[in-house]
Amino acid sequence: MSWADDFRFDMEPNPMPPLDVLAIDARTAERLLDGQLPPDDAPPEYRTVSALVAALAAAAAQPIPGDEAAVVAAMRRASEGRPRRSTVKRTMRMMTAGALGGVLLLGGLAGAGALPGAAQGVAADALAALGVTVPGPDAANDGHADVRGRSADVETTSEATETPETPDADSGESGHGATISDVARNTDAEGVAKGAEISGLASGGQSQAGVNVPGSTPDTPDPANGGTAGGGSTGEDASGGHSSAGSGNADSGLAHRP
Amino acid sequence: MSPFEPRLRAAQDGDDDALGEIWRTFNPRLVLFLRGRAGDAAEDLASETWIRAARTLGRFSGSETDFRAWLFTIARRTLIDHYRAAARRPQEHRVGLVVERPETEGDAADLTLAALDTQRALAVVSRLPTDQADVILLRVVAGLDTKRVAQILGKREGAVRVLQHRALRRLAVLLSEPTRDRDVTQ
Repeated sequence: MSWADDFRFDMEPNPMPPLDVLAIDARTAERLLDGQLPPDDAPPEYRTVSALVAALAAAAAQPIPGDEAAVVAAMRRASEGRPRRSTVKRTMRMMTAGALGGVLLLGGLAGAGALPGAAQGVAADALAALGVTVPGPDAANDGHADVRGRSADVETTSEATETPETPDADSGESGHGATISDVARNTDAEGVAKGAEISGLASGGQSQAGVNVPGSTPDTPDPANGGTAGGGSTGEDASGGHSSAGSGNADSGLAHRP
Repeated sequence: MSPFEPRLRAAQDGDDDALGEIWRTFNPRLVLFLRGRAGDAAEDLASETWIRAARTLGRFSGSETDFRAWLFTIARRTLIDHYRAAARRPQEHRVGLVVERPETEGDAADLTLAALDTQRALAVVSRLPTDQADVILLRVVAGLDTKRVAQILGKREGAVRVLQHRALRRLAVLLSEPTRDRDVTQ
């Protein structure tokens, strides 16, 4: 501690802060903003602020010219929830683009034959109307029949699928059928005897038609076998193994790829 | 019941005259507020605000002061959307973002009490920070109290009082500065 320290306190500046001339209390601030403090009554530093507030408040009360009718009409449209024209147009554009995209996608898939069978058929028909040719549903069946089979036909002739040979009109075997047909029309036999005669002729004597089998009811037409007279004889038997009945259908049914 | 409420009800029921009267009553304040914050874009923003307000006008109920607070809430959101959209635009296309500051000849102190017109007043307010300008305009132009301003700005009343106090101080400094471009710090 030196002698100079005794004078240090005296040499420090005045510790009192400078007076804040802009200081106002909360109430004065509120009155200024509420316009309750006219410039003449405001603190000197805030007279221009008071004038600014008065100018803004006066301007807020003055009418501003504008197209009232147009604004009110726009407001009414908005309140009724009517979309703006641009919104309607945008929606229509999006719907059109979506539909066009769908057509192009389906067209592309149909052109590649990549649609499921039924859809491919519908797409082929629809695009054909537009002049566009795409593969049909049976285009990939590699020469197999393109007529759809019915399940009943396939079921009743299931064995026929094992006899893929079909009668050839040029092979001369059609005379055999004509003979059988002629006999069937002209024979004097009736009932079981007629059936046995025809069946025997058709099978080259191998048919057992007309032979009574225990439990059989030969005189009752059976809807399951088409009501064929003779009962026990089958089409296969009658044709001597050359029947192709149902084979095409069965092939068609197999050839059909969903 | 103030004359506003039956007018509002008529407007809600489809009376265009009542709707026009409401527009005439509140539009000057609305345009002035938006002019102080968005300059030349104020008219367009005011129209947008009215259209937005009209969409939900049928569900509004309340006093005239409630309506004013509701309308300026929509206006402020419209303003925010405007600035966001403008921020996404290239710099050279940003029109209407800068509030015009008319040339003041000589000292700002020369803005005598009588000569302080609306344009100059808005120019001075526009030099405040955004939140302070919002408080001044909503208090003075919209005529709303601290509580409603706080609701619109999403702040507490105490925070709004602090903001308005700072804004008044800054305005006092700006209006007393000899050069208007001098930066004012708190």
